[in-house]
Amino acid sequence: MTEAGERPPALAAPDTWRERHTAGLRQIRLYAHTYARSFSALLGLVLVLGFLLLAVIGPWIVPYPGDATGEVHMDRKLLAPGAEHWFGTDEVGNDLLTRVVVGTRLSLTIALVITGVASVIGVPLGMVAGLKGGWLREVIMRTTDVFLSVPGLVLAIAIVAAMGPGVINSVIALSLVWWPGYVRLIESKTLALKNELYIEAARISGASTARIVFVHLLPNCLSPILVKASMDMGMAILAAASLGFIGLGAQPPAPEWGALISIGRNYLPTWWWYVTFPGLAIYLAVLGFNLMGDGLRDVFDPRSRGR
Amino acid sequence: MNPTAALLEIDDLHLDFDTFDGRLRVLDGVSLAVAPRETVGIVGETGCGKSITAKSVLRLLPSPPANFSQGSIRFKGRDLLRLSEREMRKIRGLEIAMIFQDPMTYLNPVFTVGQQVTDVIAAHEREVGPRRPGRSALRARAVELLRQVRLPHPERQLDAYPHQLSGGMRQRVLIAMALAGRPALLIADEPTTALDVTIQAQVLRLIADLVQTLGLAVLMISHDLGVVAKVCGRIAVMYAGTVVEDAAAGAIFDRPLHPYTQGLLKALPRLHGLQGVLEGIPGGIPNLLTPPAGCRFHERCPARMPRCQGEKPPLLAVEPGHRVACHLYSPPAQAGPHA
Amino acid sequence: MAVVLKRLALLVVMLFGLLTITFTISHVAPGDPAALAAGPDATLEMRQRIREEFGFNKPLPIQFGIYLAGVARGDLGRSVQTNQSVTVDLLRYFPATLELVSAAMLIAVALAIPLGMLSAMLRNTWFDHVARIVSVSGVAVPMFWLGLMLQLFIALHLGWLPLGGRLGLMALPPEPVTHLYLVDSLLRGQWGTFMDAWAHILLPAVALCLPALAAIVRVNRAEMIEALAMDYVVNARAQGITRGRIVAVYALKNAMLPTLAIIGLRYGWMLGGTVLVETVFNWPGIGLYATQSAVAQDFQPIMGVALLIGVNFMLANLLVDLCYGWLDPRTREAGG
Repeated sequence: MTEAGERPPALAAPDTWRERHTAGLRQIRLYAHTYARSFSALLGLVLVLGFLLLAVIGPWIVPYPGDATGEVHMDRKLLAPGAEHWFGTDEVGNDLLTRVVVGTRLSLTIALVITGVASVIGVPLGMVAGLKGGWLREVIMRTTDVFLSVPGLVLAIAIVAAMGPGVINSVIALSLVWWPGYVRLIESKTLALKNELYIEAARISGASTARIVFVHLLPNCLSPILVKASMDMGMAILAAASLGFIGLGAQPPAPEWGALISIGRNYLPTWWWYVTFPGLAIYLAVLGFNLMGDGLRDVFDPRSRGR
Repeated sequence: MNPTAALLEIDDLHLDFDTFDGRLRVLDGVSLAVAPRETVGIVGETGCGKSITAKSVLRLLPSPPANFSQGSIRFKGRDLLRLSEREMRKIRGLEIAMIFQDPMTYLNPVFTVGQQVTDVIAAHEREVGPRRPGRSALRARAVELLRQVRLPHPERQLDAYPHQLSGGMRQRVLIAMALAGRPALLIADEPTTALDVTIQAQVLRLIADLVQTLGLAVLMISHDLGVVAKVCGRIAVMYAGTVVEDAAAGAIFDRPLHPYTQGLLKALPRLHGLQGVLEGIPGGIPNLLTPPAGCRFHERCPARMPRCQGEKPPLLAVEPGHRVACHLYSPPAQAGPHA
Repeated sequence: MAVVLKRLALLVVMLFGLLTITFTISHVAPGDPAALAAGPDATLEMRQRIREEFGFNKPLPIQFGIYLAGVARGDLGRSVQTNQSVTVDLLRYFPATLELVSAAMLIAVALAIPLGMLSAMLRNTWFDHVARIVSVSGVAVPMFWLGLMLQLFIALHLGWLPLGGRLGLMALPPEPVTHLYLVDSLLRGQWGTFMDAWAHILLPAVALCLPALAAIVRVNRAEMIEALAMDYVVNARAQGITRGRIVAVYALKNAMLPTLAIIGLRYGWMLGGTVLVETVFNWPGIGLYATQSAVAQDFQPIMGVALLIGVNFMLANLLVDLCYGWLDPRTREAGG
């Protein structure tokens, strides 16, 4: 046994990858365990994976591939849901199931682009605003505030109205409306992190700003970004569908979910399936992303979990 | 100390916490007692379980994950662990009251001092009497309580918010709230830790005076031996979830018997005389997931014997009124394989 | 007082920023501003005339000045569809939207706060999980689809409530005082009209309020959970305060502050949602006005609606900020 004054035997230096990353691995294990404990979060994950799958392989597995682009079969028009057409057919005889599934790829792509562009613009701006301070921060934050002072959908409608309806324009409009949200999130997170002692320690030991950003700040911003991005995927799908419903988004014959509902509205109540199924698709997709985002938030911020 | 006269009697209390990493054995046989009008202090380093013991008395711990696997907490003869929540509410504040460490976080920031104190008074009146007293009666009683804790300008303070008061004043408000139900026992969980040294002295003096004037019994938790020495007649030393020594304050300081207590006293800097090198106690507290079998202190103990590794020492009275849990003083083992 | 003035000054700055954005969209964005203003059916000569009349061929800063002057005068352009000044149209349609949004917000808040509290108290039980899925659904369900489904089931299938509009076809609106049918009919003692107006507002209000309801429940729940974990709750328990009082008074007041902020935020989203819900229910408000203009490629009304909604939202946020300051004694000190 060690006497007072004698140095304890040196601990064996950690050598395997596993030993070196024990803390990180445990953290991930903890995240996965916490996530899996929530039924709603798992449901969200299943839904998201399902829709992702449909987006990727959908066009190859649909029963009537020609209907995706609007082939006309007047003899089959407006059939009720049945064995041949699970979701029924529309007014030109297209199988609705096919169109909804193909629309998945469209909606998810749109949402991905919007979220991606918004975060790519918003995150760096937010970080700059948080780090630099001064007049640069004022300019960025005031601009952000003004953008956020108009509800996104209304602003997007105005922009698309000026540019002309269409998928590309609606994506541009929604991206323009979306980036301020990320600026706000990252700016406040950066402000909070900036005052942490380890940032000061890094700065004192001579770390460059780039190093501080990439090694210290970004990893800590990752969790709120992931949560927001997940929720935003859902919200973007909804926003794009809303624009489609008004008629400003993807134009026929593109099988965009919102546009489908807009046309289907004319066929209520008799041919009810035209409106019901695309709407269900929107609901389930957005639900999935929202539940997943919720689950992620609970995983990263235990306080919101409720012990 | 005569057990039948005890106001509060904690008997061999075992407490486990179920966490993600496993079952933490937080309390491993805590036994101590407080007689009426007695001031008992619990001392120990951070993580020894003293605060948890205090919170357990009033059942303030969330019940999963906390789990009392063994033992009892008797107050005036009744086992508090067996009472329903409704029955506990009759105890809280009315029989046993508690004050806490950080008065800033323990006071509600969006309500005035007056609102919070009168609310406590009203809650007690509801338990005791048939009708809720009127607003002016409540305010009058609140002013009386604030005056009792020596808060300057009590009428004015009724309309102040917690963030407008200093730390010492906030602690006095907490004490006033605790006294509202005229309890027999006051549990003070590190009441001075968050305060400046000068304010510490004032608050401690206040508590000592209240013991005299109100006939309170006090259970004071602290990691600071100096604080406890000022107010307490008896001191219990805790280590890693168990009481290791329990004696009159004088005895603890003059004749510490447990090696841990001796180590604590040796680590205290002296105000007068030659300093010498401060001796710490080598090592750290054990991992509560896999606590050592036998005495929890044995890995750090300079007087360690082979017996200590496998057998947990019982808390026994070595002299009247002085109990120690250490194999240095426990009866020799019966013929056995511990060698 | 200083706080109020400071916020009002900030409001003016934000308004200026908003006008910059609306100006940019209508004058700078791709698309010929004159063509936009003239509408899709305008001839080349008409467009040229408008270009000169409105000064679209002048340098940008001067255009901005003309634009600002116009807005200050109350001139927001002209609607090609209704052939009226946009301002007149907005004044005509706004009360309907205001009534709808107010009703929806009232329903949302009245239901969301108790639900949030219950979810917090019963957290991680089946109630909480179900409530969470329901509240997330509320945000996930497309408002326009929900409106259509409500029409399908409740109006058409069950016949319980009318399909759309503010009043029955044959009904006469009450004599205007506030232009809010619910209020006016009460003021005039026209009970029948009141019931009719209520029946008509119920479905669109429900469709409109659901996302806000869901969001408020979630924030309230999270804030309640956080408040209930605070030390002052431990203290209150230790003093013998009943659990009900701890939740409904001690914790709730602390939780209300951020909840109020989210209510303000959702008001804005709700205003945006009127574009969808009014379209579905044929509700004669500014949302329907905007959609019809969008479909007809009538540009200026859309900008007018955007501006009006923006201003409305800013005012609501101002109100919330002031309430926040009044409710939270700590910020009261800082702001004065």
